[in-house]
Amino acid sequence: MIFKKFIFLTSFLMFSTLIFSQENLKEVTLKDAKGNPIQFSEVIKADKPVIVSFWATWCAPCLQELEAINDVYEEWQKTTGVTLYAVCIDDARSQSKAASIVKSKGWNYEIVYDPNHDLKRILNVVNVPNLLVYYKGNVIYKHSGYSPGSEDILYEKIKSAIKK
Amino acid sequence: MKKISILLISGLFVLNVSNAQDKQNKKEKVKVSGAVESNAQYYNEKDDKLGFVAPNNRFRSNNYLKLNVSYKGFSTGGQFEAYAPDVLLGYPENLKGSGLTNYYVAYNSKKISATIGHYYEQFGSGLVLRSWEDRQLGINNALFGAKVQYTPTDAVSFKAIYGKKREAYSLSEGVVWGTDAELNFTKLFKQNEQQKGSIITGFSYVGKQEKYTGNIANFPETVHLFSLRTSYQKNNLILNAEYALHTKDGCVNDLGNVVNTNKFFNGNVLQLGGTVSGKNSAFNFTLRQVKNFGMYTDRKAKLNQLLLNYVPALTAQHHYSLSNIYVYNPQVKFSFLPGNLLNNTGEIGGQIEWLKTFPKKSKLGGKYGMFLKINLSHYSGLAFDGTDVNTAKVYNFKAAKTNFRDFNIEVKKTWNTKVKTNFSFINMLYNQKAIEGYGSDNIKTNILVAEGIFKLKKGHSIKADIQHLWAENDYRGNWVAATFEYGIAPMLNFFVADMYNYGNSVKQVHYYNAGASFTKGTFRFMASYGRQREGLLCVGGVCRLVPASSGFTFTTSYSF
Repeated sequence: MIFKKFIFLTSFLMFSTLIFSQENLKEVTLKDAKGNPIQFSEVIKADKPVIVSFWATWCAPCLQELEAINDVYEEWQKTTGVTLYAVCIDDARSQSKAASIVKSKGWNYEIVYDPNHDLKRILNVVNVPNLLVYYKGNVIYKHSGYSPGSEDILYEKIKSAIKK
Repeated sequence: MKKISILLISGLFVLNVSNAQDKQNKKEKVKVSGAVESNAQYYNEKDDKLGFVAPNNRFRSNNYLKLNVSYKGFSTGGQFEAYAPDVLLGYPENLKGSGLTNYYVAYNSKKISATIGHYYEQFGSGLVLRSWEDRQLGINNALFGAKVQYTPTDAVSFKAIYGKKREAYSLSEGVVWGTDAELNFTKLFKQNEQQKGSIITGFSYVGKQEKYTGNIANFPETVHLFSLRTSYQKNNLILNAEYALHTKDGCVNDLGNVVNTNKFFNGNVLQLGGTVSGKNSAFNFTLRQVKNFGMYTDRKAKLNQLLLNYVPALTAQHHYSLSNIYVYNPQVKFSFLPGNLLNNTGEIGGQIEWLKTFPKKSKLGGKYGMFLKINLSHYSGLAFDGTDVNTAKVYNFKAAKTNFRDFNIEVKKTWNTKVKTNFSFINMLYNQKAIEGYGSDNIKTNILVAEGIFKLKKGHSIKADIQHLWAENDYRGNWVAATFEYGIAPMLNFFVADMYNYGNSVKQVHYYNAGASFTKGTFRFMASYGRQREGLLCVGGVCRLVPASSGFTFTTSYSF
């Protein structure tokens, strides 16, 4: 009985979202690497594509994904002007660990912190790794999980979006 | 329940209409978003090897449907949870059933945000207050009440909260209130961040109150918690320090029973940390003492429900199956043996870590680079004399027997565009008696892991690992494990895995698992069949005890 109700509600809601717009331009405050507040709406406003990638220091596939993108990031930036915001969902205690990982791996990403999971919650991110691509304020691609090679598909999506 | 569903649905119709109107105006739109997650298991009738017998409901599932509706700065929403026909094994049983939870109305702008209803919040690193959700751990201790945050400038931020914590479908007995202020001195005095570095300081106060009706005289019904934190950052240096303390609180044992004593204890935490980084390398450390600081809103609370604050383990978090058999569960509160004898008062220790990337075209890096991580952590119990709680003497900054030690090395190397390898070595000392309350106080383990990631033709890849664990002073003995994954990016993934405790002196068991997952956009479905090992499942330094079981597992998630 409960299960039926659950499925009914779920399918109803999924249907109703077809009617709604799905922009997620919310006022959420993140912290940058220096501990300064940064508004999410400012992050995704850019004219160039923006990858918002949720990660954590304890999440192995997240690190694999960011390492894989790092190998080709320079090229991606040259061809598409993309910026990657790596949103760290580690709690405050492991922020220094996150900083160590970023520095030692020489990542050139924009690192932002979401310790209270405000952004994760508002974008309904269930698990990490999870990424969204914004272009001119709209979501053009979403993906959860990582297997080697996912980054190539991501790159294709970004390229085709900016061609339009 | 029915009423709530009707309310939700009619609400959506109203929104549909208003949305249509908005489309005409083409200005602000109502935005709806949400997420669904379902974790289901169909347990085998029995598994003699595991000693597992199916519970009364063999099919069980935990389901979550979350919905947010927002318009301009306003938002509202809730979460519908159903644990039907019963709760998955290992989760709090009081979740059985279903209900609308975590509903709220909020307003957010750059300077002011306010929430009425359920909310998640943490002050600083969460040492004195944190309310959060972690579904894997069965934790949802959202506060129900009100919170306000005021950020007049980039340099200053204030928060105030009041509420009760969520416990399954009801609320805590205890009431919580608090306030937090954070100041960025560099910005406040308009100094140059590059030259002077940045200093951010925060102060928190939290109070909790719960009525006491027992017969211990002067039992503290109200406990106050304070914390002062500060961080300094300049160029490649980050330093941070936090000190927290609480006023005297009564003694409660692990079963949630008040210990019959009129001795009350305060508690404290001192935590220091830092990071120094250079080109392609970084060093970081943390030192921490915790005395009597695992706090609950209610005295009856136990395990992971009704936690007031967040004091996670500060040790390395491993991600291979054998490296997660002996995991540290932090010892942050007073614990008692039968007869109200004091068993533990807290912990003291630290962690150091060094990370280095040997760049491409260097001697060790080779053509594609190499990454090295060395990590050491050591935590001991906090010392005390005597065991009778009435006469025991409790110390600060004095270590007793080692609870846990972990030394590990990780080497990741990229050989060419197709092949990557990871090697890990872990050496651990695990005091099972202190961490789990029984067994040996001196389990020694060595673990070796070799992992390879191979990219095949476009989108196809193989990930495989082999692992071995050598154990001393534990009847479970040595283990061997292997995992094999085949991925077709970005949608499909197949895996088989096995862990075998061939050195077990009582019974050797293969913990096998096989399954597949399908991902498209934010939709993800996974099905697997296999055995679950009994033990601690830890996420972000907080643990849940998982019972042994076997059967099918299905996970589905989608967000919109």
